[in-house]
Amino acid sequence: MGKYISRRLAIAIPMIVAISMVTFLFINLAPGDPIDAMLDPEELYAMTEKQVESLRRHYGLDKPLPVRYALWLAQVVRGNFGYSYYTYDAVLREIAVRVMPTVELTLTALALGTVIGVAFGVVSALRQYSILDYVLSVASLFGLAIPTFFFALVALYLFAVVFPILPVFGMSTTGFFPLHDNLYHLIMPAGVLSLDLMASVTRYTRTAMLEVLNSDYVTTARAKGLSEHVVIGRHAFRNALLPLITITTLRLPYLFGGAIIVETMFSWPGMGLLAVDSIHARDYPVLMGLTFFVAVLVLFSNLLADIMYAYADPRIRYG
Amino acid sequence: MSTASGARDIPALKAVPRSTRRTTAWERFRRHRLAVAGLGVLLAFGILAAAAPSVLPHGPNAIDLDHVKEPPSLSHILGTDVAGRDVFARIVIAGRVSMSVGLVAALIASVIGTIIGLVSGYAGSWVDDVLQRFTELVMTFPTFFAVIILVALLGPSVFNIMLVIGFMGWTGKARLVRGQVLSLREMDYVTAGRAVGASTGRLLLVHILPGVMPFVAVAATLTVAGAIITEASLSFLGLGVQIPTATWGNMMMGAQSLTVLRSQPWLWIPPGLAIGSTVLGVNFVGDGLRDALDPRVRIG
Repeated sequence: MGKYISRRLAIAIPMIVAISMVTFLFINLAPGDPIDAMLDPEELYAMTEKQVESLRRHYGLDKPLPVRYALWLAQVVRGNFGYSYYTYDAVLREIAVRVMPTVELTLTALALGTVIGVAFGVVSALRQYSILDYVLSVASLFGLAIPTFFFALVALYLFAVVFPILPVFGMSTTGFFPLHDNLYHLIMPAGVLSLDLMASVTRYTRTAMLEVLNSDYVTTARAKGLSEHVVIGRHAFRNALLPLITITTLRLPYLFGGAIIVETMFSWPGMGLLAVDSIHARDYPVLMGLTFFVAVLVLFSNLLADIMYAYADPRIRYG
Repeated sequence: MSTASGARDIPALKAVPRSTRRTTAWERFRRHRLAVAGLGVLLAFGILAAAAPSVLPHGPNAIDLDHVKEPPSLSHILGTDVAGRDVFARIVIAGRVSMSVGLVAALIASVIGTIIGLVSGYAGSWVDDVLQRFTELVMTFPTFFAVIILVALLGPSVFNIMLVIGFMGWTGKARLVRGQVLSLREMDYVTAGRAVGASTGRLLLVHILPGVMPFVAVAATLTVAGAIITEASLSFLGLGVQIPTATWGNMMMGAQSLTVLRSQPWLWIPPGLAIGSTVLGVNFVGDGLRDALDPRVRIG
């Protein structure tokens, strides 16, 4: 097990280097050079060709792309991701304050979506062809077909316009963060974000439970005279849920995509909102830092999922 | 299956007339009632969008400042927007953009995914390793996040949006095709083809690709649905297709203000329903295709 983890970690290092290359290439797709983006057009207009040239040299922009990448990477290794064109603050600090809100939002949505989705799926499978099964199946089809932002609009319409009972803006009412107030603000964004995952987990769990319930060992367990409670709880449920670890982690990137939309619509001050604001402000250093960070985050959550899976399923033995 | 019976299967497969095979697939598809309904919805949207200019009483971009934000009425069945444009006409025209973005992006993603999957699965060894790591690398960039950044960097034209969604969406297809190729290349009929001296290109295109295509077709259909949602979300945030070109996503942008949300529901509910019914339709067609084309069903 330890060997497996260390080997996976060893693969992660070249992956991170590759991620940094892709990130660097991404941002260099931008038309014009960073000097245009950094300066006020009026300021730029007032400068002589020579001044612009010396600025370009100052930032190392006159060098070829691989050299610029090496220079950038040398700074990144020291923890310097550059400075925002917009706030002039260090990129790392800009991102650091946005991590926790996004983690809070996505983990809550992940928990809601998985737990409720599993419950719906199990109930659907145990009561196959009942009205409840039918309603849940149709609902999960709609859950997958309707975009997150439309659910957000409907939620806003219901809980902010028709029944104004939930806050629609930010993480707390004032600058302070009493926990209950924060959770109150979390309800709508996290609820909306969880719907897509909930729908796919419901569908998956239903199919997996039905398959397991029809398998020989469940029939054997019943024939042994075990109570239905034990058959379902100990024999069927556990096996049906194992692949769920992989399924939920594979959906993490989608969850993050949804977080961009939800954070923007509910002004939730996370990385998604920072990304959208930085795009509007053409703040390339922040975008570069964010892209790198998010990819590394996904890499490590996939790694975590693999390790969890190996731990949970004794049949898997990695050499 | 032994080598001998595998060899006998080749002429047997060829003996089945093409038209019969297609008919049975269509019959299987037709039995899936939801798939037929989905296809019907898509055709209706498609025909409406194609015939729009001659059918609609109002142009989608005709500004009428005397009739701004009007609720649905007989002359404007879904009301008008902030510039007095007819919402129904815009929904119909927007369908053209939204659906073509979905189709083209899915086509790009499927072609890239199929090529990478074929090469990766058939070549094996280090080529497979390199392509697998590359696929994993692309997968670590969350699609929607990468799409909004790339579209912003390249410029938010319809063409760029199709390209970016396509180039970020092939990973699933590549893995699917690779998995299929791994099992197909060990099949007796492929070994037989190799034994009679077929070139690698011929083996891939004539023997393996047709076996993979049904899976690609089903996955591609689901990609169309995903691409439509991605484009809509992008345009809703104002980072996608720019006004005045109407898409279902950017038509709903106004609803980010609580006033519009409260008092002009005709501006955001109809485009949302258009997206929902299209995506649902596409998903049903995908399910129907799975039943109709799944080669395992035909064998069994």
